[in-house]
Amino acid sequence: MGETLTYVGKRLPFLKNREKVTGSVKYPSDIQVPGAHFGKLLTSPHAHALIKSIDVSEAEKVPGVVAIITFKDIPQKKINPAIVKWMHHHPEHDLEDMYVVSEKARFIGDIIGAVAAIDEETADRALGLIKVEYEVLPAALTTDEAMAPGAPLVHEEYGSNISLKAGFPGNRGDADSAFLNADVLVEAHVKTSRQHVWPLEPLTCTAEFTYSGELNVWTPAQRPMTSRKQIAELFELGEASVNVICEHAGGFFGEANWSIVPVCIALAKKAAKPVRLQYPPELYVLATPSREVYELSGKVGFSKEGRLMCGALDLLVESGGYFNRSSATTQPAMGAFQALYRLPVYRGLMQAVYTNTPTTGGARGYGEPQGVLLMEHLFDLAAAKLGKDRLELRYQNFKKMGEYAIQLPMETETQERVLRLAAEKFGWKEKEARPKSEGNTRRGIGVANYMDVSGGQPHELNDRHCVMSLEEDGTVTVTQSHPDGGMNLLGSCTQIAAEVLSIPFEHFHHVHGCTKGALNDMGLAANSGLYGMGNLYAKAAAALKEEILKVAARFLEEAKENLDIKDGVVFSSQDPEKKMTLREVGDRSIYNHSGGASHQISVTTGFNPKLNPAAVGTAMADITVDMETGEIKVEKLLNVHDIGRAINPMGVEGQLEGAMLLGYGYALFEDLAIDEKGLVRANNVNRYKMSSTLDLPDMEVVLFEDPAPSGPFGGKGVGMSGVLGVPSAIANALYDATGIWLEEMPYTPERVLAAIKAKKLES
Amino acid sequence: MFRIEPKKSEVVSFIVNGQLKEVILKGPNQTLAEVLRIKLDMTGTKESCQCGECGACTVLVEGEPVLSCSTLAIAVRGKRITTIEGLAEGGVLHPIQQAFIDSGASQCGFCTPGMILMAKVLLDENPEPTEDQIKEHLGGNLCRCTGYVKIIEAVQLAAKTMKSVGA
Repeated sequence: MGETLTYVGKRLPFLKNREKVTGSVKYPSDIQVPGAHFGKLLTSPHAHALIKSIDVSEAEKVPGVVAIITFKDIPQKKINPAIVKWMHHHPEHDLEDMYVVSEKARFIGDIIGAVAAIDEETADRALGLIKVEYEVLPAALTTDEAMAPGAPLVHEEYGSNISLKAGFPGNRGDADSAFLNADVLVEAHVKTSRQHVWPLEPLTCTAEFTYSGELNVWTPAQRPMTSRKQIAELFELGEASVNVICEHAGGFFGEANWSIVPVCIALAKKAAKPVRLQYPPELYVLATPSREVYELSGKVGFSKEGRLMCGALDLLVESGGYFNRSSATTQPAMGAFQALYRLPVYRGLMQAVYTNTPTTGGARGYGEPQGVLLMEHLFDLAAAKLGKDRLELRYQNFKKMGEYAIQLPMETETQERVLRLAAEKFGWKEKEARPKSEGNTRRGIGVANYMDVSGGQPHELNDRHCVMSLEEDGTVTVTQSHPDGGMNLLGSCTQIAAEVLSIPFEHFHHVHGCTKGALNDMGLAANSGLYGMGNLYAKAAAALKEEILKVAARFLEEAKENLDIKDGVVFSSQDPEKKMTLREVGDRSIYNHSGGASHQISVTTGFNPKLNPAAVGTAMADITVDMETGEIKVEKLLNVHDIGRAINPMGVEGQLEGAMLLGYGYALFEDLAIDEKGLVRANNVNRYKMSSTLDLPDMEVVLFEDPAPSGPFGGKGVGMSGVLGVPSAIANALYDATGIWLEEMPYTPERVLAAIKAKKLES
Repeated sequence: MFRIEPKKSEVVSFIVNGQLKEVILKGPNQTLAEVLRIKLDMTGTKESCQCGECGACTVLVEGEPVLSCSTLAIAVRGKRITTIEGLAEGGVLHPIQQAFIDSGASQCGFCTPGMILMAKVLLDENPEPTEDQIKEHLGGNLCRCTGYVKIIEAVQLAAKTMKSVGA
């Protein structure tokens, strides 16, 4: 690439890591507001029930109880708990169907009321004294039940459990005749499972109204500013009177859950005291959304030469009790089906269906792993039918420069090179040549390509702002509202700013994770962090540099054009005598007694992305299947990811490794396991299996760098990407080994064994 | 009618990171995690699953790893307790802490305190663990961010540094 970079591309320590390894970082769950009362939630034990009456009179008598709220005590406005409507250009698809305390129980765990008391025991005692009279209703626990004629209605006002029917991004061409004309047709169906991303930090909210009527809220907020917006709207407060605080969070993974926040605020308001509310673990997974659950049916047609001619996707979203992100995550799912390969004719339909189960939607990957799963399997099926090599068929159909990724033009064309690199690193040819059977096991390899995004453009507003100031000690302070959720986003952005300004990385200070004092920012979603924030920091740093040089030009009596900054020193390219440190510039600028010229050098910068460079990648899996037990053992997982430019390679690797393991658990065992009564069986980590070091497969990450013209130093998105290909690569490896395509996830030994028996396969 | 019943409180003392601490328990069922986090405001010890399955709340009692969310404070009275706050000495990080930074092993950081204390137990007993031994030893500490790859690298790096400095 030619240029020498000092900070970009370096494996620098993650921001605030010294605080993290010493336990001194404060997460929202660590915050103890003096005098905070203890909140507890009352939730429905029934999957579907009318609430005939709630009698709180006995509970109110318990000494130490300061507030009890039920439906009548909360704002009588429906919301969408995803709180994304301000971002979306088409918010009409984000149905607002949820009261913050429900008027009717729609799933086991639906919030019916809450208590605040002096301590946990008192709150528990009061909770036990609330008398709720339920009229238990028949429940629709599956999409089949919910769509059957005469099904019980989860939300009566829609007159049906199907809340939305939509295409994305719109049909093209005449699908019926294209399918008739195709030489080879393949189709597949899959029902995906309920993975819960389950951040380790317990979900808490602490709310405190100040005596001036302002509201402070501490909670793990992935998007503090939209949280603030929704709180202000619900509780009729000025946006600037609401301060959402989340400096650090113990993981987000896209979930950005919101359901206890307004409950906590309502308790604090009624009690006129600060209240802290926490989900106990067993309630947490009921009341926070799981990964989006889909039934996907796909069909594609190829010409006999192997050209993809047409595709159709029918997608049923199981929303659960509330709509949440049923549309917002389904667009990426449908996008993933058609992102990577040229698909001239397309027909797509999504339908969102309510059921009396916990709400779904919004996990890391945002529907994309499911779309990839289906399309990549269809490619394998087609390759077999066409008698073509699996990789060759993919090379043949990748989009080229000049084509659109989904709705924006591709900025770089890297798919083919990424796949070739993956095949080489993985040893695809050598592995493919091995015998399939070995003792009681069969071997298989699978591939999955993906095209991820670097933000929600053009569907979302992703406007961001920061203030960047030169301090009198020559360091730089950046103020913006983002929390640190563990992605080292602020660290990577600082590397970018340090590079632009040529100021040491260590000379940056950060004010973050607090809406008060910060300018607007739409928050993190859709892989947008590095691209959006990175561009913002690059832009702000360039503007700050300009201002610094302007001031230094006056002090040094030198033309600005001759000045530059290197390692924190302003110098003249013409006169070696003319130089001054940033400390001198910053200090003299503030304490400037001559003629009222005193000012702090500072810029306010905004960045509103218009483009969206596609972050493509390839996952490959090498597995063995025990034909006697049905157990899948993953011998090797590889993910090659086109990051454009790795600002901090250690951080990018970490993002991919973590996401890959999430994808691995999604494929093989993670599932909330809802029983026939609608109860989540896997309701804590002693019942819900998530990957530990003992499950860890051999994982390899390879970074591919081809800078994106619009990215900061060429960087693209990565946060979600590692989840996208892994489940699909494992599924395709299973198919390669056994010819089994499981129509239900996860691929547990029981399911695999049942399929082996059904197919009468032998090792 | 309800009345506020006087609670049976109990005073326990233990040595936390070398300092004697006396705590009035609100009852005999108060956990060590709660005492550390709420009574002593040492929030470096994390609580996640509250059922002894995730390892986030790991502390050392007389050098042995203990799940503080599932341990009654009373059960460790008079004992020496080490929490993550007690690992750095005189502002200098423990080699394991430094290795976690250098390897990028801490993302959100919520599992990090428990993970580092568990690693310390391993390296104190076995200065040159194999990769499998590290995996085996950290099997009860869940991490949702890193995919564990860099955590294992950090423990290997720490083993190297500790060997070279004779820590």
